[in-house]
Amino acid sequence: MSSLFGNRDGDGRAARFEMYQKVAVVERNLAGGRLLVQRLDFDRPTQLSGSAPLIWDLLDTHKTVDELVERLAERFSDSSVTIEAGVRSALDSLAAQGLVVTS
Amino acid sequence: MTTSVEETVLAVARYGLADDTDHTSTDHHVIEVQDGDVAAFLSSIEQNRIVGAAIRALIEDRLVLPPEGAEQLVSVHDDAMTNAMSAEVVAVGTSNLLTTAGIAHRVLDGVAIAHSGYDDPALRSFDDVSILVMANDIEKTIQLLQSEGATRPQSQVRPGFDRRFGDKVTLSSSGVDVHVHRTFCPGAFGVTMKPNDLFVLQRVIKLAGVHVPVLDPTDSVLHACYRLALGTVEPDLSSVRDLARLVVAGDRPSFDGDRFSDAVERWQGTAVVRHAARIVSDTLGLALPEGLSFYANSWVDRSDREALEAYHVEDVEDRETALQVTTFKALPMGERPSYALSVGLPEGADPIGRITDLISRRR
Repeated sequence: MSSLFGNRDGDGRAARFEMYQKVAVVERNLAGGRLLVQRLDFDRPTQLSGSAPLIWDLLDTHKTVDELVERLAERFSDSSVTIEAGVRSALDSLAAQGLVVTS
Repeated sequence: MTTSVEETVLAVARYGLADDTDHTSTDHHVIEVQDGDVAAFLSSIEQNRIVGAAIRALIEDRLVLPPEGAEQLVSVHDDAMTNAMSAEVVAVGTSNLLTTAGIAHRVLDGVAIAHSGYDDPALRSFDDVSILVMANDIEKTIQLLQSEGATRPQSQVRPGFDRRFGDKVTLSSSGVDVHVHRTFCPGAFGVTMKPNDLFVLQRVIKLAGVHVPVLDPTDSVLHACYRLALGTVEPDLSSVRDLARLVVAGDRPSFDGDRFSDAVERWQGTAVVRHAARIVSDTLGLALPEGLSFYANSWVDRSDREALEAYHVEDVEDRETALQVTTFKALPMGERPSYALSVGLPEGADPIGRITDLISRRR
């Protein structure tokens, strides 16, 4: 099992039961596991790297922080606390870039 | 190991196309680019729009570049995908607009083939948008796009020309060229093809939640043939790969050989398909499926050969004239005077100046 987030700590702003929804984008896989996504109303794409592309993909089927953490904990050796911090950080970043909305 | 940049680039163009059982294919060998060849290699794969194939080969350890060259390749691919996504956003918006207006259309070329001909759209570069509409919808389509801010750099030569004779109208939308096609090509083969056939069946790709209509798999092969054989004097390797993907490694189960043959006959397109099949075979050295190899060995009559040659005249102005002449010959008698007037004396042209120009070009 590999480490997904290392020792990075998230600030935990995302609420546990909020549902996260991807906005409509076009996307492209780039070398190095990066992902390029672009909203239809944006002029330029946003590049996702690190754990963000994986979380972005998982958002198709897993909508809450708990669901994402549970799924990632099956794949990575990090503690749930570390994974949750990484998930929250990534979701905050995606929300700030207008790529996910909460409900 | 390859010995020249040209061979290396061709090896990249072949990458991912061969059948899994073909152990003589490039896929099983390492393509190596020497230090001194990196700049020429990168320039050529960018020009030929096969950056996606190169990046796939690099990731799968089948392409070896010096470390700096690999970084440059990644950067070139990043840029190509950024451009492709800009075009894709315009394509989705345009398709949405036409659907809402009730205008039947098919998105062609890069956007369509990246999503329907390749297993990952990141394998295909493009930076413009092509959309086919029916002749009777072309004026409405252009008005609609212009009302949304698209601009048309070149005006129509005479009223009704776009609908009756033009192959496409190019607009600019958000910095992206949008080609609104009435036919696949100018010239004689644009006259003899039956574009309305392409609206009988369709396939849909989903982009950003929008259902975008594209050509049915069999029609996609027809389009790939026309584009490869007639699109440019020297086709880029991306166009060669497109056709190869569709007939050798891509949509074979969906390809309807009988319908393809029927369309080629109805469109009088044997010379086009023959030329395209030969390019794929000669350039990539791939064995063509029966449906296409049949055409590679077919006979072509003199008038079709002349019509085909018009597309491959080197000089741009001479090519335009050659295409106009073959278009004129291919048109029904009743339409010829109107066509001749349109191309010979465009609206707003000074008749004396035009005649002087034509005489000087004759010399």
